[in-house]
Amino acid sequence: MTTQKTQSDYDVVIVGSGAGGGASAWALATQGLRVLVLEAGPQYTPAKDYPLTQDSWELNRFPDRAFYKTRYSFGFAQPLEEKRAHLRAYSQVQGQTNPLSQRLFGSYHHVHGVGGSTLHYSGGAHRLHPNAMKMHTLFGIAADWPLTYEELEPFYSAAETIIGVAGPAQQPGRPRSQPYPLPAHSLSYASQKIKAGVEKQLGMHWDANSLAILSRPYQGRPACNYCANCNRGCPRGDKGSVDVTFIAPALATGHCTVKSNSPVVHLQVGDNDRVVAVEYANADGQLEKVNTPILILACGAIETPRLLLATQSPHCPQGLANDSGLVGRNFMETVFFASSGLHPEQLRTQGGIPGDSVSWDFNAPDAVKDLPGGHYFAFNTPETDLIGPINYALRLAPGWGKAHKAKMREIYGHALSIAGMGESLPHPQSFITLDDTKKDKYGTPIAKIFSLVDELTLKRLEFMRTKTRDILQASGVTQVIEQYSNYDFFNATHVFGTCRMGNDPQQSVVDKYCRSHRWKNLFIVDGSVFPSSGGGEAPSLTIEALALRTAKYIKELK
Amino acid sequence: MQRRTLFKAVLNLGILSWFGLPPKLFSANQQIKFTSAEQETFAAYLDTLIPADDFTPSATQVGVPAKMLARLSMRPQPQQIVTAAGQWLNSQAVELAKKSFVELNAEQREKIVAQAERSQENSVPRIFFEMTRREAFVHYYADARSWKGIPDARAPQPLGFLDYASPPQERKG
Repeated sequence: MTTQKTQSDYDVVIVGSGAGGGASAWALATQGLRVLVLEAGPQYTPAKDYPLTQDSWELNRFPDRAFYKTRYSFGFAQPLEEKRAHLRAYSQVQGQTNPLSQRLFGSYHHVHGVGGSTLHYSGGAHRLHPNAMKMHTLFGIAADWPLTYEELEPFYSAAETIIGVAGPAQQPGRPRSQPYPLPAHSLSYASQKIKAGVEKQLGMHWDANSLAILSRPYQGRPACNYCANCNRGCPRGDKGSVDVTFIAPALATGHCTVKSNSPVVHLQVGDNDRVVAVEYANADGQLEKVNTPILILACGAIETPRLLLATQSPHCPQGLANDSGLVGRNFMETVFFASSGLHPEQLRTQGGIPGDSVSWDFNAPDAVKDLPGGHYFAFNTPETDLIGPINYALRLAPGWGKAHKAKMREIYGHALSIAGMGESLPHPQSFITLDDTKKDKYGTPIAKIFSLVDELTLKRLEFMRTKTRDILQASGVTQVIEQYSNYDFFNATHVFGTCRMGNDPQQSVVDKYCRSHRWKNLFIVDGSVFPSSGGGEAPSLTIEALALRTAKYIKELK
Repeated sequence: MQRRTLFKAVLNLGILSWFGLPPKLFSANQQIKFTSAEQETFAAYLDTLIPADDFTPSATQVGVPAKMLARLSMRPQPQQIVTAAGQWLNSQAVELAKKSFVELNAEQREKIVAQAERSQENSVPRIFFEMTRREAFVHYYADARSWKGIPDARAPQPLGFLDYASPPQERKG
């Protein structure tokens, strides 16, 4: 394949169009800079591609098209301990989910497409707890963020306004300069049950979540109609995925171009510590090259380090921006535990919003004695996918024949799930590297994921198992019939840390403005820059706030 | 990893585990048609797993056997299991009543299917039972005719669930 002539039409080239790339594009284009966004995946057409009106809707997960799936491999399969058997995934109907004596590799749930992984997220719009950004100072673990919550706060507010976040008047631990732009959604009937139970029996607080899902019509987008299927893609546009919140208005400025189906193949570096150009395959499969006065990488905490590590030249023999040796290190994943049961009352949990209600009681990183790092507990039935007849038939209703049918009618709408998500901490055995043996279709090595569930994480899983069960019980569920965690499966939606930000070039990859310490026109704006993961909060809002802050900095540089 | 362990792992991974394997993994010339006797036995078996009742039709009435056989015929290994399991069902039927499985009454068929369910792990009848139960329910409950009598079982859009915050007894539908 030969590369066509080099384009020089843009001030900024952004690789990736998810939370970081999309928000950067909007912020830069609205400031008049000429922006090109290169997206490896397609531009989805929600009304056509998210077929939630069909009888077979339940079979259609988010329609990642196979070609665009992020490819990766795994190293080291962690042995599972007999004494931890109670942490393993099981279903009363299907039995133990992982029958092996080692951890199974599931998926990195990463969407290629204009809007990135926000296309299939549940709309969680969370600010980090201020102390979650000071983990090293407070507990001697992970690393401190090189900026404070107070410095990030105006950008949180700006992102919430653009997105149309719906949230409660009060949210503990997170000072705000202005209210959420939209009122919180009413709690679902199931969440009302949880709230009544945990407040009375456990003394916990249980409140409306803050969500990038419209509770009222907003800026030409309709309000949510509570179909509970955010994870399959929102066909209406009420969910604040980046394609509708940031990319569409960026395109409307006339200063932004988005090229979908255009995976980046190669980063070209030059003298003077600058990235000169990006080579990518266009929608027809032809290689093209574009100059990069400014380059922003926003491909997520697995693909971004892969691109950097694969960019090796005499200028950067260890990989681009890897003078510290930390590109790919400090990988942090999604730490979660979900417990499900059947409520004695018909709750009709098939409607509503995934994660419409939460408890922040254990979210401060010092909330649980001897367990540094925060936690977040939420209503989780839709995200567990216990909202349709197929999953009820396979996972909740035992047996077969007429008795099975009768059971289906008896239990449908009774499923109640609670999830806990918690702090993930860096560990020397959790990292991303290049696979020595497997390459993508352009000859670039794919990423290889090494992941270890360490002792502190095990302790956290124990805590979340207990707490999710307590919450279920207080809500009226007498028996857990299914549980799932990241103990015996690697399954990650939120990943962090592999291009850590910091003030010390020896201890970090980018600075407090997400700029490479050495490569002055290279910025990274995605979860990879997080020095610590936070206490289970959804990361997209923080990524968007960082992107807006970085864009402001870039404009000032110009 | 032992093959049987892997098989169970794959079975357990979710509703779209082997069901979701792309047919193009096997070339078209590997496709083998089931005999009419095999098809009848398979349909009778599925109607035992999913019989008609006062509310809803049977597996056959919503076309489950045809959908499953179309997919199974594209995959050599499951295909072999179906053929072997069909022979097993008939041998049990002969032992029970000196008839073929298709000729048995509902109660007799249920006895044999229950026997398959209780069979030794990794035996042909047990693998067949687990494999087909899973896929039969997937096809069956992806058809709106199976939803009668189940409150709120419907496609999520275009209506959504605007009354999601109300007590169920106060809701419509």
